[in-house]
Order: sequence, then C-alpha cells, then structure tokens
Amino acid sequence: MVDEILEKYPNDVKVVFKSFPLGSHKQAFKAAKYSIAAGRQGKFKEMFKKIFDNDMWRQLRNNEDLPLQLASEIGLDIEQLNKDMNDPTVDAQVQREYNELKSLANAYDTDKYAGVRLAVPKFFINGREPEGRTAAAWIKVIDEEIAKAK
Amino acid sequence: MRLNIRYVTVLLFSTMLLTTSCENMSSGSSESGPDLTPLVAKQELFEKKLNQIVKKIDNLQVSVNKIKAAPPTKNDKPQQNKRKPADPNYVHNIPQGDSFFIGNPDAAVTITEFFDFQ
Repeated sequence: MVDEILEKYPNDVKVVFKSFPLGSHKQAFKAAKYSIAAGRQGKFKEMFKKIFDNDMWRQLRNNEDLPLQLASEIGLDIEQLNKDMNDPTVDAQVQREYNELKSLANAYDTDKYAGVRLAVPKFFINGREPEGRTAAAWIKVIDEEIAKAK
Repeated sequence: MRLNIRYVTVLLFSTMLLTTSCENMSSGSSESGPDLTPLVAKQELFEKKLNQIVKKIDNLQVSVNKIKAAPPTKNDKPQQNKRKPADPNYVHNIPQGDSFFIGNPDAAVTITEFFDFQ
C-alpha cells in the first residue's frame, strides 16, 4: 500500500517510520533497534523490508538476532551495526517513537469513547488517521492535504 | 427468576381451574354427590406451595434491588470500552523527529507509519 502511494505521488508524499514494539515480546524491541541501527547506515528501509518480506519476523521469536544475519545480505557494516546496537541513543529512539503513539491514545477521548486504538501498523497522513486501510480512504486525505498546501 | 414466574403462572391457572371445577361440581351435585375432600386437600396443598413460591420471589426481588443499589466495586470494568472509529478530520501532532523516512524530504504530505515486527 505504502509503495503504491509513493508510486502515485513520487514528489508529494514521504513516509516516516516509527517503531511501536509491544511490550509482550522483547525481541520486537530488539528488532526495532536493529532497523534503526541499519538506518544509521542508510539502510533502514532495506532492513525493514527484509524482516517483513517472506514473513521473516515470525522467526524472531526463536531467533532475536535474525536481523544480524540478514544484515550482510543488505550490505551493512556488521561491526558498526553491533556498535550502534549498544548505543543507548538507539534504545532512546525506539522508546521515544513508542511513546509518541502511546500519547495519542487519549486524543478525542470523550465520556463515550476512548481515543486512538493502539494497534499496529497504524498510519497517519499529515497527522490525520484515514478511515480504514483502503487506497481510496488514503487518496482522499492525501489529495485534500496536497490541495491545502498549494 | 423467569422460571419461577412461569411456574407460579402455571400453578395459578391450575388452582383457578381446580376451584372452578370444584364449584361447578358442588353446585351441580346434590348432597349425595362425590366426595370432594381429596380435591380440597389438594387445593390447600397448592395454596401452601404457591405462598412459599411467592415468598421466595419476594426475597429474590429484595436481593436484586440490593445488587442494583450497590456501588460499583474495583473489579467492575468501566464502561469506556467503545472505540471511536478513526476520525480523519482530527489532526494529531506527530513530529517527524529523527525517525527514518523514504521519499521526497520536502513532500507536502507525510505519512507516518507506526510498526511492530510481529
């Protein structure tokens, strides 16, 4: 979906990735760190894709260092990767991104309703949450935002 | 509770039927008519049972009222479970920060994806 949108709007849209590793499995937090560490070498998207493609993430439960094995396949400097994995600012970034979505949970909170559902993947378009994950719903919001910017 | 009410209704009807038939029988019969003693005894038994059931229902009603009037305890879940569907007109403040992105850095539209490797 994201790829389709980027293809349709190559100049008008960018996609920002933020991790939201759920507390129930620590390997998710570690995998998020790996993706950020890979990002420091300019290969965030490659690592992200590598883990999601072919359902690789399913193996994380039994092998939390799977991303390390995938790293050489995408041409990462392993020594640097390990160094970044031990950098506390990488942990801090995962935590910060996690807290960002968490803090949105109380938005439009009323007596009757709770706020944003904390389920991932979760998408916002210029801060607006499209109704559902259909191309039509996204395009509607994107076109409105592009019209606003012009 | 519902079962009890049904039971009482059935009993009431049967008692009424019994009473009516007894009256018919007694009015239509002469002194040498059939002996009604067992029927009367049965009716008395019915009435006794009926009174017991009514008493039980009254007690149940008192209990129900007590439960209704009781303040919610800690274990009661708040009724705030309904989730509002996504509101595309609400604009959340989500700074890009140092998060990684793909696409034109100067793009007018930013899609933010929160993800989890699961």
